[in-house]
Amino acid sequence: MIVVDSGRTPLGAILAARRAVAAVQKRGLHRSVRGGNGNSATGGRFRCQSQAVIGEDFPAVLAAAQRGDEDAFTVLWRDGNPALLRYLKVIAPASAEDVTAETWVTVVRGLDRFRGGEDAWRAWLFTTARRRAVDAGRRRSRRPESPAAEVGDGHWPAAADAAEVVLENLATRAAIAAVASLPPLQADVVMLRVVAGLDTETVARLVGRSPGAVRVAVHRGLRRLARIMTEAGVTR
Amino acid sequence: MSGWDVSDADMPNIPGSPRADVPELPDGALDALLTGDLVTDEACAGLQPAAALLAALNAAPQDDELAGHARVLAEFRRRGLPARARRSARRRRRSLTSLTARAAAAAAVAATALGGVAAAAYTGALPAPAQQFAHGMIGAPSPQPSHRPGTPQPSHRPGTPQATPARTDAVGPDATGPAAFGLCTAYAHAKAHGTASQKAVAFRNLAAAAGGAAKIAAYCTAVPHPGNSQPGQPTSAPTHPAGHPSHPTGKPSSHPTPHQGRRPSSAPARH
Repeated sequence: MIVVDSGRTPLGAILAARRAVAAVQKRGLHRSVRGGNGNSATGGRFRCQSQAVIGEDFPAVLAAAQRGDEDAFTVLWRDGNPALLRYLKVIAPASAEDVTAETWVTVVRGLDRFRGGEDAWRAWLFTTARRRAVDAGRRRSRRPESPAAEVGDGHWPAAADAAEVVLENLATRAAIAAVASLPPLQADVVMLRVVAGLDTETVARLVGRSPGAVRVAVHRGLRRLARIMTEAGVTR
Repeated sequence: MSGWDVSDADMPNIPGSPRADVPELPDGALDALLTGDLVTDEACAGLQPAAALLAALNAAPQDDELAGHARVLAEFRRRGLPARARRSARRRRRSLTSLTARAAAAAAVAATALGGVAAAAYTGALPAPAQQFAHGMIGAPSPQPSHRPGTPQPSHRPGTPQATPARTDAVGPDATGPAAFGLCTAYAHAKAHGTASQKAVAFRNLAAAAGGAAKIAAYCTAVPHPGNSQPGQPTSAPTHPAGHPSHPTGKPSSHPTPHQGRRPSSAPARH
């Protein structure tokens, strides 16, 4: 591939970025959760399906995207879009697709000015998404009528093959519906911690609460979710 | 905060406090849930069933979650960047190819839509406003409320032009009634462009009324003009392209093309 450069960026950096993009594309985005305690991926019942991360290649991918490289931008988009959509389906269910698209418009226009690592990038993505949802007044303000109905018995797999089946489309949708049935703050912080992969302090800034309040809200939310799962027939 | 190593029962139950019954969740407990580890923390052990749900929340992306790529990429291309000039030829070729494909698809849809609507228009089967429009544009009969064929089948709503009248159970307009003139016009037009399908219900009716497909021309010469006082189709000559529903392929040039590098670098300053 021929890269004609205007002289500002060393050719080597561009080639490195290309390699990084290709590596990410080849490897796929899913890796084990960040900040895990080492024995994570194999120890539990469920194989880890953490939020996608780009990882060590992120700086090169971001730099390439900021120079206008579409492949690099595509890596960023593929990494962020599913999580954004899932988050917005919880906090702005009626207009999740629209708000997601608007979020990317904002992100694309501000891309050049963004500075920071992958954590900051994800924080920016989700801050933008949340702001878009709130701005438009489309944020969910009340709980849906019957959360349990959306996560009926049939949706949850029996424990034996749960690890496989749980990855399927239906399970993801059911999981999103289950989180959406939580009170708004709990749903918000659970999604930001779990799907966006933001740390407690970042989430606290984002939702305007103290870190302690966020930890409590996450705990409350997870308790409800655990109860929903138990009632739906998935036992440990 | 001292509390996540004490059980819920030991937590102070302060009325009105949002944390009265639930302690803060230690970050490590959430990490354990996310990674599939067992939650060792006693106070949080009850959360274990949620692990499967959290795993589903983070499951691999589904196709519909990666569906908006083209739209976002178009936005990405539009942003003002000096890097525009550096776009490789490969990428440009690829975008051109996809544009061409999209234009062709749009043309195909337009052709289908125009075909169906035109047939409906010529037979007077469109709702009055649409029929009036068709009357002006392609010389179809003007709308006449009393003029409706009694059959409800070809009820073309303008919003759903893809629903073509070629359903096998369709009855089609009565070719012996007032719709005959429109049918004849449509037939002549379609035949001139090589699209007079014998399968079209309306044309089958016309053939039946004429006593055979070969006799349609003779039959049609005998069909009286509906006799509206408006001068005969003044629009057919000047606005010619619209009168040829079977040739909508001239349109792709109107397809919006994402243009390059027009936006100055002030664009990203918007917030």
